[in-house]
Amino acid sequence: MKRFWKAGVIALAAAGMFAAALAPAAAQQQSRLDKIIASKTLRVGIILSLPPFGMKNDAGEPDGFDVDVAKLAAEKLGAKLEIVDTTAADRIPNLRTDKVDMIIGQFTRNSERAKVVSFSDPYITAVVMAIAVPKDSTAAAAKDLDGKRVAVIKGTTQDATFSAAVPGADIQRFDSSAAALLALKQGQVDAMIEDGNFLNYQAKLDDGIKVVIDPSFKDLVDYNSIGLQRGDSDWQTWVNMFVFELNTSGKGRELYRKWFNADMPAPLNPQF
Amino acid sequence: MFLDWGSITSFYGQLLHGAWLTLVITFSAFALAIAVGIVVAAGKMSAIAPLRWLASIYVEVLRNTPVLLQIFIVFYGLPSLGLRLSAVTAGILGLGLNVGAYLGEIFRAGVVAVPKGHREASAALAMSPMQTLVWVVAPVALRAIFPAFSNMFIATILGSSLLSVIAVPELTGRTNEISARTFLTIEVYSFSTVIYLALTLGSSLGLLLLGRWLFPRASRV
Repeated sequence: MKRFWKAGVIALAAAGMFAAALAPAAAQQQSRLDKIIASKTLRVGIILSLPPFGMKNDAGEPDGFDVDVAKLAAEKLGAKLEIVDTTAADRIPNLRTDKVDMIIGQFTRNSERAKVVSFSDPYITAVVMAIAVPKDSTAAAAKDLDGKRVAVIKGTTQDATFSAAVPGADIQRFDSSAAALLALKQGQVDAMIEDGNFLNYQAKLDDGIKVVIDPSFKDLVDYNSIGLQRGDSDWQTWVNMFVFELNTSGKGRELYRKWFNADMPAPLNPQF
Repeated sequence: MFLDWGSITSFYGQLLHGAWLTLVITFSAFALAIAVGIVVAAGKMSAIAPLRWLASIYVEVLRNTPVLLQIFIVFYGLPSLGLRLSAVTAGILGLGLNVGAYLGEIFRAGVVAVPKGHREASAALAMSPMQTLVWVVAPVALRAIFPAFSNMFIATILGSSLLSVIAVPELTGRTNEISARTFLTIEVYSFSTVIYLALTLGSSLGLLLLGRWLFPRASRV
């Protein structure tokens, strides 16, 4: 019995020390921009379970809209691209623990998130809240989902917005859009909430589901940005310049056409 | 990076709620696993060859594939066969079937560990096979397997965290979700670690005391 207590106390003490060891990392001296140029490596966090933004192609290589944007950024920096697969919920932890130099993952910027991470100028637009339901569903608006099983993705704008709009829904929080979509296709949920780009693309691939846009959410547009660590203005300035070029050169629109065969739901007007 | 321990106090309730669901899932899955284990052990020791084969196939398939995959199959795969289970039920079933395969082997090992002489003595005393099992074989076997049995219970608590991937809001699921919503990643994960330690160490202690009570020192082999 004594030995048991001893082991227990040691385990708890170890847990405490672990938490203490994770305390503040040293403040950043050199700009990340210089480090990337010197090391010739750019680490980008991308959600590879969010086709067609991020996915693995038939050859097992990362592919998609966000991957193309990342490749372009690496090219402009003269650096080798290192893709770090992430989930929506892990985007901020990846930035905070310095696992990546930037997140290109359909990141919606908002004032709450901006307390912990920084954002570039927007590089893509999306209808915030689209609803995917089975073809035969009669749901036409968010309120029709009251009491229904609705899949959302942990830590997304859609989770926060929908949970507040329809408190009576039975919300199931999944780790990835791919998992939520599978749950919808297998009838484990009655509807799924994601942004319009993702769902329209999926509905095109699968006749079994259709996309419904709630009238009250129709005009809500996401201006998704590249996520960065806070407190490195040199790096942020470079990323903004990259996004500016992406938007003004027409390359961004071209990539969007390549993956969606349509135009962005709202225009991106670069600021001068 | 800064740590903000004060802010997580408002999430204690949600995390404890998650811990409660973790316990409910663990007990349900383990109860199922015990039932499955008994059937599997009986099957493996059956006099009928096809039953032995079936039990062996079950054990080998379940023990040699990832439990995460098994949970996926129950949740995402069974609807294709017309069986639609809620995430919690699917998770309990997946976890219980997996742990049941391990328990089956543990039970079997316990019965095998009972010296042959015990059974011969029972036969000499004209005990029926059922009487022999309940009064002679089971007490000795249970004592032998109790540590392994306790370990499987702890493994089930930890394994229940896998259900977070099918959107079950147990402790790990809640932790992920709160972390994603508030960005207090290290704070909530540390707190959950402490809850898991309390659950596992508490269970270990409970099982240790249960073992002492069930099998007093004097009667140990």
